[in-house]
Amino acid sequence: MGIERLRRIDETRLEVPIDYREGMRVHGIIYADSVLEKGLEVQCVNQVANVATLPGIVRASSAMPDIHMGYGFPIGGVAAFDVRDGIISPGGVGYDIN
Amino acid sequence: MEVLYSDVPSGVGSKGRIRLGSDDERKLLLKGARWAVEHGMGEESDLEKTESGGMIDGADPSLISTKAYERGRSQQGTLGSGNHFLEIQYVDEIYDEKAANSLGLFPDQVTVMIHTGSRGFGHQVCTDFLEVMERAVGKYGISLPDRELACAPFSSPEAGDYLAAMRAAANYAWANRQCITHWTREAFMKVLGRSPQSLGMGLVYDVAHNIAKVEDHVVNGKKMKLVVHRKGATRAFPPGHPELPAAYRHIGQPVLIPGDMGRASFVLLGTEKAMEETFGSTCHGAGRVMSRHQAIRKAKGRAIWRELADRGIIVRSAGRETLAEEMSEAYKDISEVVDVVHRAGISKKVARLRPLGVVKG
Amino acid sequence: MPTPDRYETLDIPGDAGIRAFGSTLKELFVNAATGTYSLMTDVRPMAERETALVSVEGHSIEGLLVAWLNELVFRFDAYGFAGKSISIVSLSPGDRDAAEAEAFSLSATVAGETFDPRRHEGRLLIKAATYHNLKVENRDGVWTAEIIFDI
Repeated sequence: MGIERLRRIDETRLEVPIDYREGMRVHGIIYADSVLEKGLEVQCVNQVANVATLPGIVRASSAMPDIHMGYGFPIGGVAAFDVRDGIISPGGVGYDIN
Repeated sequence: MEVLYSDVPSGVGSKGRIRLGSDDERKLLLKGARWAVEHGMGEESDLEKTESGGMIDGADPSLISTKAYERGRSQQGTLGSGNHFLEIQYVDEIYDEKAANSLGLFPDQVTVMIHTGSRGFGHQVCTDFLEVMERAVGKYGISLPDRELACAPFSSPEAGDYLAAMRAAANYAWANRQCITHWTREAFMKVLGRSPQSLGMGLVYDVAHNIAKVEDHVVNGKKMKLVVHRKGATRAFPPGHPELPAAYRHIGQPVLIPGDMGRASFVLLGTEKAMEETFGSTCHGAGRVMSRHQAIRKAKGRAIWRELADRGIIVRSAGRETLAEEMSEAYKDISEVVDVVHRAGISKKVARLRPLGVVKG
Repeated sequence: MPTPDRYETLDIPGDAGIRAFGSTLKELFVNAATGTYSLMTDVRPMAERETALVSVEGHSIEGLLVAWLNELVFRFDAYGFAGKSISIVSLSPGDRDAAEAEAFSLSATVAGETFDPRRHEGRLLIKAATYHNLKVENRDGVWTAEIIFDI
């Protein structure tokens, strides 16, 4: 784990590789350009990677450029789970519902 | 600003103008913004321009704890505190004239933005279900890298209960913003002596930013039913999506990005690319860069309200330290955040709004 | 070793937290409660007009602390009730067995009054006490707890 493990996909996207931590089912994608990348905290990246380990997650654990640390899931995070074998989590919504 | 500040309750310990009996509260949880409109607070057209019509199906009031009911009783129609706000703004830049036109936005137009949610009701629902999920993790043998990710299989009764309770909280939030929208129109009417219709105070859009929804998406060419979690993220559906109101179907879903009180807010539109990459989602706001203490230290000896007043922004706030905590420097620059989602193509810029007056909790 | 101040606030980006101390668990729970109130309002000018009896349970000492503080947050948010003087009537198990037990319970009386935004200072709007980086430990005879709140 560590910020240096991030790979730049293009001008606006960073990849959290699938081997960033054990148990990731999909990779992570963080929307950030080179300016916002400088302010990116490792705890936030870890949260994106943690979400990627959850059962039934599809495509990617994503985070928007306004990402910051949240309860379990990062704030600014988007994660989708297959209704057949996935999960639902209150932490993925947060306290401030809607 | 004074009328808005007194007519829309805000701040710690503020009570709403509505007292809900338990029957009323149950109805509100099922009907969301529609409940408010049926009680004379708003128009049918407001509902058309609200995500999910301001009323999501599948809410179950019987799954709500007594504590959530108690917290919800006096907080309907209140702004809250922290980063929530009500702002009078003006359109200071248009990036997409055609789209702005469809949304009814034009340069120098005065607008109002309301940023709040389900208040203590939703907080209690989250607290209650974190306990439920904590037990579910053991029961279903889910291994987690962090206990805060507590969850349950979507097909389990615990998941069904959470979804139904969360939907009730989502409806509470839509009703809350609908009430505040109505009082905002009334405040303008009182002060300007003209009807909201003649002032053109129609709703542009109302969108959620902390919600889990069951949606159809195409992944690797396959249509799938997914439960999409958006936490501090906004739905950004593309043109042509059946969930969009008819008036916006050709341009895409409006996305509202509430900024900090000194800088700017934005109106964006959803895109096809968001559908392909982020399940039709984009950013929500700016994100803090400073802790509260850091902000308070940084604001020491400064009069944040006067700095804002010098720039033509009037602020009314209940909390003594709210202004320091919420000053612009405590947040990432919203323009940078919006630029990134625009350049990434997961939403596109339509208009920038600058604050004129801010009500903060 | 002298007991440090009863509590201090923690500086965390985006959230608020407290570190509370106590020479006994009872003292720790009282100080954690006082610290929590200090984030929401200033209880010093408040009177002891009403007394509430509060009982909570948990599966661990950490769980009991979160349940206790969430109960106080709930009473403040729902009814505006803020406690000025807190006394723990019972807390079981006691200090010695806290590490091994599986069922924890606490009952307390909280005396205070109803928050009035015109007379009392509103500080932070606390949504909940969380398990985030939650710590309860005894070091050299001093109980310390760290709690982060979602605000």
